[in-house]
Amino acid sequence: MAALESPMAGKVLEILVQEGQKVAEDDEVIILEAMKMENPVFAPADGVVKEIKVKVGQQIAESEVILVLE
Amino acid sequence: MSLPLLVLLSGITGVFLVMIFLQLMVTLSSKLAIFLENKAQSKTDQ
Amino acid sequence: MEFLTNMWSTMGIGSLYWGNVVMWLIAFLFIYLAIKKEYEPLLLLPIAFGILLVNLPSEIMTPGEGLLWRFYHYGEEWAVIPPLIFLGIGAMTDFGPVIANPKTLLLGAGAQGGVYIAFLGALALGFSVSQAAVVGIIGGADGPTTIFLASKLAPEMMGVCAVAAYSYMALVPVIQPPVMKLLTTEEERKIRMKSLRKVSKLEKIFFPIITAIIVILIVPDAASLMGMFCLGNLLRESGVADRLSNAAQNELMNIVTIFLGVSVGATMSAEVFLTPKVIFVFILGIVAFACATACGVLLAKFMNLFLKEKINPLIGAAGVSAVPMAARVAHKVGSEADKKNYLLMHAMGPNVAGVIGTAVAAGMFLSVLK
Repeated sequence: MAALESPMAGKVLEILVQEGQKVAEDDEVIILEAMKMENPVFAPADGVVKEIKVKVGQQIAESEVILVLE
Repeated sequence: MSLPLLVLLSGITGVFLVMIFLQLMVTLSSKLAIFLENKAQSKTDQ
Repeated sequence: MEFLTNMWSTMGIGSLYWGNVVMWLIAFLFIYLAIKKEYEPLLLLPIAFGILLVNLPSEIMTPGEGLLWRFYHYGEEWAVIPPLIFLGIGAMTDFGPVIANPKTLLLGAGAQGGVYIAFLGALALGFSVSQAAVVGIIGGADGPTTIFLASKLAPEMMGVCAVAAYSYMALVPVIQPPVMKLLTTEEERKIRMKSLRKVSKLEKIFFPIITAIIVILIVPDAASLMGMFCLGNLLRESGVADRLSNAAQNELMNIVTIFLGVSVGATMSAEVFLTPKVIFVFILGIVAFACATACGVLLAKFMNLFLKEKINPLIGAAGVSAVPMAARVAHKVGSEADKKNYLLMHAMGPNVAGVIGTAVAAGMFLSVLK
């Protein structure tokens, strides 16, 4: 199990995966907006998305858990 | 000392002087702020 | 017949000369760049229209009479508007990244090196010392500071230096990356920085107060810019004056931007603008930007020699105060080397420190030259 922590503070602009979906390491999973800049966040490892903890439009802080992989 | 040289040296010295002092004082004020906040916190906890 | 000659003499066409038409074309170019390319449109549009207005035959810029002259006189010559803009910038700026990592303040100073290199270059090209100072400050990439310094030292340079500063700010993403890549290795660009610690509210309240005291004690001539800047920031961080903070960063900022733009444009009449020196200003401006970037990166590399926790030298380039463009550029160049490297917030530290740095550099110029 691996948790993806947000690398920076920002607003969730887009979530590109769904719960139950299989992802590979370095796949783009969400897009974070900060300073009017779109920043893709990548999956930390291969796995299946177990739980997504954020919603589109939500403001998240640095090192907040975005999703959990299994 | 010629005017341009004076401008140059005083400028560079001034900018770095301000930033070094600022760095020092910001570090100290952070310590003070965190100390004050911790104190306030422990008071409300009691 | 007499009627016709009368009519002709009241019309403006007679007093037009070729230089005015050239300035129209420049104004049209700026309007095009602002609308089509969105290069700082909020500033470039009023500036461009000011240029057009002042190059039409009228008394709009006549001292003591004209409308734009009054805007110019009370706003810029009295140096009222740039500090008001700083009030708004202060209210918009989050100093969290600086407080979390105060070392980045030094990077904000380092990037001012470009200011002094351009200053020497301008002297070599035959500008007076005061003019060279104004040309140099373009390298700080700060529009209001450039206008502020020009109004005090070389009003004749205000228009062209303001336009150079603003147009190069729009070009930061083009000018900076080649310099940054040249001066760093792939490994250095890949350095990941430890996440920033959380900064408490009280720390953020202390920051503008301390900054105002220190900066003004050391450089009294930066008082009007930095005083307003810190006030704006205090309004923001206090959390009890949101109405004032919002007014400073929205309504007031927008209002003074209109006056600033149109009257800066109005200083660019053909007689003043169409001189060979203008080309030098634009060349020196780009040199200043490139050197500021280089100085920031090199200082960051120098600091790394002593630091246990290495900083990514790319964030040094964000010490030029174009907020937040320079920070975005640092982030982008970093993520090209390692796509999981998120430098944006780390780069905001030197970036906002650069605003203070440029204002201090302007204050130091003033203290010697005024």
